[in-house]
Amino acid sequence: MDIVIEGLTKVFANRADPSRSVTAVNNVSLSIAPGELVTLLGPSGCGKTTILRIVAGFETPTAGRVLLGGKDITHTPPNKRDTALVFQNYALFPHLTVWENVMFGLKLRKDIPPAEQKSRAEKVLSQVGLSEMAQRSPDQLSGGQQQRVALARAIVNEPRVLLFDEPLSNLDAKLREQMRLEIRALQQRHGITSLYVTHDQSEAMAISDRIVILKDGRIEQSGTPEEVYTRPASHFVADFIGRANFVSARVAGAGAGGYDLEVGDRTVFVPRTGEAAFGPGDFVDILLRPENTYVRPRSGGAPGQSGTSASLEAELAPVVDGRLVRRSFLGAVVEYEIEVPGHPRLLAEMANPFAYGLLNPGDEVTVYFAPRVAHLLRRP
Amino acid sequence: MLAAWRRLVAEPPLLIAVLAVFALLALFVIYPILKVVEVSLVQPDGSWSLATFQNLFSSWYMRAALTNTLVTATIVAVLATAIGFAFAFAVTRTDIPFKGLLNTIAILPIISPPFVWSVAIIMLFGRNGFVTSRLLGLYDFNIYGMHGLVFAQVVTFFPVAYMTLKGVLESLDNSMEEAALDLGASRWQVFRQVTLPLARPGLASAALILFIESMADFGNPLILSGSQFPTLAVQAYLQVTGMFDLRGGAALAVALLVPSLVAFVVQKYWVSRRRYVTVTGKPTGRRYIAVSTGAKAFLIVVTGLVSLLVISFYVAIAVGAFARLWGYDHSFTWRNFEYVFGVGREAILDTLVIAIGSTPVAGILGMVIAFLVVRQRFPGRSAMEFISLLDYALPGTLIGIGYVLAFNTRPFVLTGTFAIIALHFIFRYMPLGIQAGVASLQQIHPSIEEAAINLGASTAETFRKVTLPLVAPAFFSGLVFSFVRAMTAVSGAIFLVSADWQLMTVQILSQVGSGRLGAAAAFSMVLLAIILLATGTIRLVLGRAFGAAIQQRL
Ligand SMILES: Nc1ncnc2c1ncn2[C@@H]1O[C@H](COP(=O)(O)OP(=O)(O)OP(=O)(O)O)[C@@H](O)[C@H]1O
Ligand SMILES: [Mg+2]
Repeated sequence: MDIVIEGLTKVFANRADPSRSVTAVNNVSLSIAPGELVTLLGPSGCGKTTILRIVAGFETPTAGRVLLGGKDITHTPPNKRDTALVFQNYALFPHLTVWENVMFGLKLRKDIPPAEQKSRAEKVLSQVGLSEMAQRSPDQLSGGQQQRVALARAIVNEPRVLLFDEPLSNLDAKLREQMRLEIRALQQRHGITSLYVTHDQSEAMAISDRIVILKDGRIEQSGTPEEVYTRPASHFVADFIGRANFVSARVAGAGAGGYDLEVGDRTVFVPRTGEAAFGPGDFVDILLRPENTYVRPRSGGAPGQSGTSASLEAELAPVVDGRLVRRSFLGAVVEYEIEVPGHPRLLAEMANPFAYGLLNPGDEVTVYFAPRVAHLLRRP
Repeated sequence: MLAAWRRLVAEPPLLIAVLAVFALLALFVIYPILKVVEVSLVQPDGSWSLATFQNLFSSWYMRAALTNTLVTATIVAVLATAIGFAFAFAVTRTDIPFKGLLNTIAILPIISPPFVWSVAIIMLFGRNGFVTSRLLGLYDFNIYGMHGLVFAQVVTFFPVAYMTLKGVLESLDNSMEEAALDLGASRWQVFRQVTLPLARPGLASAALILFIESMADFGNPLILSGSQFPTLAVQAYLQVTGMFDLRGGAALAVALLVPSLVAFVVQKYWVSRRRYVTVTGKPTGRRYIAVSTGAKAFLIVVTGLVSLLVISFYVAIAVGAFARLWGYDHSFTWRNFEYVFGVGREAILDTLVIAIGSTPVAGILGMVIAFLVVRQRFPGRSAMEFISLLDYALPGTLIGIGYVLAFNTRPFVLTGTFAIIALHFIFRYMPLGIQAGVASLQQIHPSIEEAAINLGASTAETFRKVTLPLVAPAFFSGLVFSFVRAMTAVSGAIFLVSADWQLMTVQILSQVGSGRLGAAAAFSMVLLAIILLATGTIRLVLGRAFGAAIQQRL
């Protein structure tokens, strides 16, 4: 069942002092295809929870509509909507057992015979691996098990829409990674259209068909995890999803295939990516992800030292010169911080560091990148 | 166990404190209670038997007193809990208007003497009652009896339920109700299947407390029961002071003791253990107002009517205090106040001296006990907690008779003195300090004190600079409550007053008894004014000293 959100706006009015009213959601439009899992991602206070609660029916929008399967549900009360919300704090009923928690929604439904209710609950409990614990009360479960009960309770009703509000934020890192795979598997198995809220970008990347990045109640960008990572629409998105280096440049020439950019006294060619078009004289920032930022000793740093294949090696182009100021050895990768005069510091992440030898703080270095993987943003 | 003893012996200050507290509790709590039990069982010839009880309860009148008390307490517990819940639900779970006002109205009766409402009820609904005879023209309406008593007690005690249940509902995370709604439950089903079951331990606890309060109530039944509706507390008083039959009075007090004790133990050790822990923290902090228009209208009507009643009671008292003769001549006069400040001046001063003298002692003793119970491990710790709460939980009538019996012979001849009333108040209202202290000490994690020590503070400095400022708000709020209770106490104190040491509450009762409603109303006004002034001053002074945080807690 698809969800369509049209021009959604929510203002929390402050009657006493109208100047302190909060526009939590500002003209958000979004559509989610049947079976798709879309993540709302953004910093704290950007309106994620508010959107979710409007879809669930706990909040009435100031303007805009919510359509479920083409039907306007903007003013349908929450208990009449086919949506199931997984709460951040799970909101399990402490006075009921795991079994009764899962049966809660089913029992309210007159259209399902008791025998089927029972078999459904059993099936879902076994899917989340809690068949053994059906008779326990929620406070006798671990955090991860409580999370699974919350999940089972939501999907057992076979809702047409699943809503998640930071469902994993109370779990530790390991469990979080495991649970997000389980949530994704269950969601796909049941094919339930889902809206998922998180402010953890790796969780969003791992779980989503599509990510919607919000800032101050507005959509900054919406796209697949790959799109938003490789072709962010703004500096904000580039920074929010993963880590970003920006190298300032000026467009010297624009061709069909890409742009010639002046960076200091070097000229580099960067192929066209994304929608934006630039003309000669425009100021741009080249987005270099740390894994596309290569550091070589300046003197005679012959390519071939890096951990790259020969074909990529051939593509690498020098872009700026600088001095290495920090080296952090993280095991699988080594992280370098490079100071470039008149520039914010750059961050480089090199895989397999021992194969190539480590550089030392104080070394004069040249920064290389693969232009094909770079992305251009208009300088704000 | 042995290790605990050894530790106690190894720490002389702790040992001394524990022994001193136990000695005080034994003498001023346990001994008087045992004395009452003993007197009720020992016959004039020195033998032990149940004869006193058999004699007493062979009369239908006393049997009626027993059943009346139990039945009234049950009805009041149920009704007042229901009203308290309606107020608490309206304030915490709906968007009805005037919530602040409702909250104030539901708290005000707590600082009023527990029987002023009876005075007001007589003024409004009595034989010459303003509502009954003036508005409705009912000249033979009789307010005396069970209905009048239940009426007065429900209005008097529903605030206690309100305070408990408001706390319960506020701590119940609203997201559980949202989850139920989200799973398709109707608002009524959410209420029945989630809100109500989760509040059930709180409801049971409130009802048991109210049961105890109603059983122990003395002022309201004295004024409103009439002779046709005997109750235990009043009969015990009449037995002792009217018939000089201490043995009979003691037996009636014991009859009162047993159900109260059972209710107290059930409340403390069973119901309060059954609180539901919300499974994970981090409440959403959002409120979805899940009440239908019908439910909202119902709540507005119920809370509105009760509020109207409370307000009209205050108005009646205020008007009555300035009226020449309530019910007949409502022209303005200072006469009642002249009377109060003339004849009643002694009582006002005595009450103040006793309350001011006893509350700090009660507060400090309460803090010491709270500290011992929460922070120290020693044999008999839970016994200490239980005994120290007893006087507050048991009917004042019992305790009052106990003090009369225990302290009228050598070596403790205290009858008729300041000391006996003050001691009675200290041990009866110390539990308020203990409860406040226990709650605040439990919130101060020991690691805060450890951090101070780790930063180089000595134990004494830690206590002075860290622990004390942190528990000070609780200490003073306990103090304010004990002061209010001491000012408004009557059921036990009425046995202890003398010509030298009078209490305002006792005076009010005797004014009502002799039909001087105007004087009683004026007395009540003065009492209320003193309480408001005192609590207001304490709040202001402490707010200066400790910042705004404390003011919210008082
Ligand atoms: N009931 C309310 N009254 C007033 N302002 C509110 C209310 N609820 C939310 N807001 C404001 O609306 C904005 C968006 O809140 P929202 O909870 O949707 O953010 P969020 O993206 O979920 O943040 P987080 O990641 O911290 O959960 C915030 O600025 C918040 O302070
Ligand atoms: Mg949120």
